[in-house]
Amino acid sequence: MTVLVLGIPSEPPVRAVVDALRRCGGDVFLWNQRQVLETSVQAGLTPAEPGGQPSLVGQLVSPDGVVDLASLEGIYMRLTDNGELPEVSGLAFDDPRREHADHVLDTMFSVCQLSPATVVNRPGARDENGSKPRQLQLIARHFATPPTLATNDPHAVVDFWREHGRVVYKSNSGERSIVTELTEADASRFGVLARCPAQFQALVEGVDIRVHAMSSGVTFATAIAADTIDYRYGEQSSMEPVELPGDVATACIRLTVELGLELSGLDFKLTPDGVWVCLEVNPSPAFTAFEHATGQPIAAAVARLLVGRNLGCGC
Amino acid sequence: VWLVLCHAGDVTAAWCAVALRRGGLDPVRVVLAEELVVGASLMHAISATNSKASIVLASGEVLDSARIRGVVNRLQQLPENAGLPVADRPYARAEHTAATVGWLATLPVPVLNRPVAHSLEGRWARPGEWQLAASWLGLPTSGWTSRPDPDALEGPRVLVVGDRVLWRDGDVSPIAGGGSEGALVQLATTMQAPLCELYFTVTRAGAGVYAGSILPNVSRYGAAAADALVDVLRGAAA
Repeated sequence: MTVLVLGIPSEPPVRAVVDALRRCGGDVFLWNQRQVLETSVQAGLTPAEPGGQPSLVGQLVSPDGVVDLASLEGIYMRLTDNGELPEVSGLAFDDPRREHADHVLDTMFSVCQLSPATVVNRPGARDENGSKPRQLQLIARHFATPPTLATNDPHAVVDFWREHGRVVYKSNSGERSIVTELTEADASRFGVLARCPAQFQALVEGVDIRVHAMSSGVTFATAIAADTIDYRYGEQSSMEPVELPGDVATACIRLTVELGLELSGLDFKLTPDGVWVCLEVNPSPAFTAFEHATGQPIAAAVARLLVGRNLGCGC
Repeated sequence: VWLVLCHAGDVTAAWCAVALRRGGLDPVRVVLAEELVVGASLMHAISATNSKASIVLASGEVLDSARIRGVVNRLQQLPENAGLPVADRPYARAEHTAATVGWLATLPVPVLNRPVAHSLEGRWARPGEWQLAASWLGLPTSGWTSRPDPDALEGPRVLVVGDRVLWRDGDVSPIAGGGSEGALVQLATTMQAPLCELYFTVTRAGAGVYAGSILPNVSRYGAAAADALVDVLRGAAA
């Protein structure tokens, strides 16, 4: 049984998962997405009689080898849009090579949706943060959430700002944005807001905590001290592992499973009075920065999740 | 108010609006995708205990969530806002879409179909996903291959609206057997598509589920589809 890793080998999470699997003696095949033009894939589902179960069949053929799609025990997927690959981005939209690349990618998405293997994470679930206002309402079933306003109405923003004193803003969509505190200087840009909504949240004071949660019941929590509101963009930050209270860990795992994810990255603020406020859930977490800073064996846990068992290497 | 959300030129949406009005739903407001973007203000407040949303259209008309009783949603993609620099338009469209999804996804009334995070039109799924779900429900499936098959969508179809399964005049249900209609309704529910058209392929071995469409041409199913739409939107809202 093989674990199929789909992505670009230089990407740190891809490299970390492949290394962890190989270190533990797992059978791993890494498909390099940058070889998409030299790859062919055929996949299918067999017909099923009433009450029967269809089987996924097919194979992936790349310059590095052939993979039988019917015999996978796990898939780790970190694919990017073909248009972002240097090999594809320069091709005309009607170029048959671009069509081929899109067919390969689309088929691999189907395989990830249909495979009975453990898939980290299935494409349908990975898109779950496409609408943060929607996601926040799902999060609120498990955790405290900050008062939030999704709007393109400057007057509504001003009222919200008055009510909450300090407010941050970020994207509504899955597009990456820098979480920023709203200031008087931003008010001059409210004219643009009318044509492009944003998400505003009451600023929550407290410690930033990133939790990596897995459907297998494993969690890793990291406290982050940074000199900026969005710790990802701070010039100085430090990370240290922290113990999660049992009920918080359980809720993290439940929410992860409820969102259809095997692995998630949950961002919290732990307030001075001990409330865990969940800001959002990342369905495709780049966990390696946290692993390197804290020594938490996150990649090894992902490897165990993919094979559904301990690999006998003591990781 | 009952809303029909759609794009300009969507004949099926116009048919739905007429069907709802004839069925006694009043008022029915057809809202075009452009109206949700150009000159419109969206406000969606989410607190720990509740969610409150409204959209003020350019005309000044207010679509207040608390007054919406049901939605037929045929939106696929919001238009880009021509008032922005070209480079900013895709980002702004993604933001508008995400906010609109957040509004529609949690309306406490029937929404046919409800958007999901990455798709305004509802949960779009590949043929294999429909088949896998169908097989879990005991339905026969016809198989799928990644090679394009232009004939795959030429077989019989049925329309599912809420808990009703309809087929076109002259057609017969492609799947025989007691309980199969209930399984088709369950399939629609499982796929989060209470309004959908299911496609079958027929071979010597019999008919099997091939795929589904979450943007069906409802009008092909005539008066029975109109009645079902009205009942689903009114029944659950009552």
